[in-house]
Amino acid sequence: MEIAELIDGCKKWHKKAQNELYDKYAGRLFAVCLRYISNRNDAEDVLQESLVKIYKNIDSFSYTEDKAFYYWMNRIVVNTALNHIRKNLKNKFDTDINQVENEFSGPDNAAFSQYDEIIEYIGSQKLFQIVQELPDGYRTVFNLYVVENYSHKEISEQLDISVNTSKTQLLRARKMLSSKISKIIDKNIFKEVV
Amino acid sequence: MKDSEKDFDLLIKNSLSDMEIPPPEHLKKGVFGKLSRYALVHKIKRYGIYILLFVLISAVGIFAYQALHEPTATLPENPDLHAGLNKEIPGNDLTKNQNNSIVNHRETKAGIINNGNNTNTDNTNKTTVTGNTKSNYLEKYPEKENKSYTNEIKSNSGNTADKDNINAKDKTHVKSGMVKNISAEAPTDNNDHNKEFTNNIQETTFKTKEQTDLNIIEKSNSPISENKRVVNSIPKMILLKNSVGSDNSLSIISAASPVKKKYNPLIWSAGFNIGQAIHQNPLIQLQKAQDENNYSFNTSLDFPSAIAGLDFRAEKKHFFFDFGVQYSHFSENIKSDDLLINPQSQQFYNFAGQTMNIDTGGGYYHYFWICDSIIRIIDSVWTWKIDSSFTDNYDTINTTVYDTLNNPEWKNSYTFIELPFSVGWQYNFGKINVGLKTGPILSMLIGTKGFIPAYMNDQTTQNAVDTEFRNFRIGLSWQVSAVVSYFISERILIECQPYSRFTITGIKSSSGYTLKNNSLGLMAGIRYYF
Repeated sequence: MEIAELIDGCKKWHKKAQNELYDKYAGRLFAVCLRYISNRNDAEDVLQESLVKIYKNIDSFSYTEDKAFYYWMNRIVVNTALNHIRKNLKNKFDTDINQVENEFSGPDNAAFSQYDEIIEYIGSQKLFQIVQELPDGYRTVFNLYVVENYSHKEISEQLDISVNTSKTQLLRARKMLSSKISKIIDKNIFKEVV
Repeated sequence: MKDSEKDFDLLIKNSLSDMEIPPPEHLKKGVFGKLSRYALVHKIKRYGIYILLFVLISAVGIFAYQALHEPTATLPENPDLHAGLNKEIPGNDLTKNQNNSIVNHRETKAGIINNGNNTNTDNTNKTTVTGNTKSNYLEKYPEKENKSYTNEIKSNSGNTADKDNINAKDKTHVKSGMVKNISAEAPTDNNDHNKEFTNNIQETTFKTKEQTDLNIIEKSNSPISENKRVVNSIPKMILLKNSVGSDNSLSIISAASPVKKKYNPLIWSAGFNIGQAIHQNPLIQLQKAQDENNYSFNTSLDFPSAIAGLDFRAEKKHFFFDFGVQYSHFSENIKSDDLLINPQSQQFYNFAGQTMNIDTGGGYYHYFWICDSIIRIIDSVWTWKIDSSFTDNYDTINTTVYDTLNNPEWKNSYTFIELPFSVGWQYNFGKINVGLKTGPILSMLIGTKGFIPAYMNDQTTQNAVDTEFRNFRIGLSWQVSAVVSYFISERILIECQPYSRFTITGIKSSSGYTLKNNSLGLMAGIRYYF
């Protein structure tokens, strides 16, 4: 079934179309949930709530292209996840950018000259796991800024934090990510050498 | 932002954005379990128009039924009767209306005891008059003896000359609501008027100070001939305690049963109205394009809605119900920024060795290239962040030729037959009525002209509107109007209705556009009362 037909069927509450939509997108949307919420049970709750919202509000979506539909669903999932985070993550954000050295050097290893080689080396699954392991505040800001392309101002409004806090979280997230990536590479290379 | 950060972010984004993790099986059950609860709500929403119509028709039915069956407890109009009834009576706190629905029985003791034929100075007269009228009626129409005759009273009400000459036989036929014991006593002489009142006194059981009253009571206890008793003819008696025993002693007979139900009919009128929207939102909401070029469609209304219609109105007291049919025509201009319309068949074009202008912020599409005054779009070439610059091209590329480029503009129009329903309330200030009305309007599309962009981006096909919006589709709006009208003659009034109208369910096109009519306007017309 084409996406446009799928949307049309869901608008008419056809069970078959709803099932197909679920089968087609639930995996990707669950990954989005898990990027924001590390606890699997909470992520499942958020996904369930998001999917119900998607089915209920699909009438308001007018189809233009396939990508737009996924972005629309993604936005619903992210917003639902943010609601969950707002409820549960209060005061989990560090506040002052001055406390963080304003430097980012990225994962550094003599074995790789480019980041894409590093990412390719460790693989998407492992990278996903590393992002999941970031502290809640870091992970949320990192996801919003890097993956969803929010600005710091938008993040500060969404999470009810200051712009500086958002910047701080992002810098720390980057640093932590790069150091974890570096560690994994070092460990693996060491293993390979041994 | 440093390049290292940019690159790092981009790589992480790319590797994370396509991740897929299958959710557990039970989640699917949970989602569809929750959805089933909303299915009913969805059905209600989907069939909202029909539900609303059903409710509306039911409301109208109830309104009409009540209007036709609601009784008004009034006696038939009798000037003499009313004159007597509405006299101020000491101790009588009842309102004028209540007096209209009862029979006052007031008499002096002297009138009762000594002069049975001369009790016509007070409200007793009405009883007598009624009896007399009944007598005349029965003489005239003996076959209607046991039927209600109250309507006849009206025409005979002026005849009071014979009021003291009531025949006992006549009295036996007087129904409840008349002085009730007339039927019980069944006197045979012509001087029975005393007996009539005597029986009243007995039934009301008031006690007078005078022994004469007791005598009357004793007298009234004389045997009653069974065959002259009228069954079911005894109405309830009410005593006004303050007056009992005094010269102005008063008893009131409830006259529920003799009062004929009088129906207050609906007042019908027909109106013809024409109208024009003063302010109106675009009929089709053309969304801003989602791509990086931000192409937009603007609609402007150079000739907003024009409406002409007939309606019928049923009025009762302050309330009224309108229904009718109206013809509506809307038109609007559609303008767009740099729209590429109607792609023709793709052509291979050899760009080798030519210079082309790539005008893009990056992405997959939208490379404008103008060559020999023909607009061509290079099909789906991926580049990353190339600013507007001339670049050399050494390949044969698939291109599409379009009709138009800059700021195209065209005009669309839509015609509807509409069925407005409304309920309202109005107040009369002499020749002027002022009121409010509200209700749904069912709109059926019967004709369209023009084109509509098939896609929400800068490269589109102009679809004919009639392929997008099919005829006989139905939408639902709600309208609230103020109503000001002025009677220019007894049956004709002119009226003016400023209105606000908003769409509940728009008419949807196959491409996802919705036709909505949200407007503020003015209607004016003339109304004739049947």
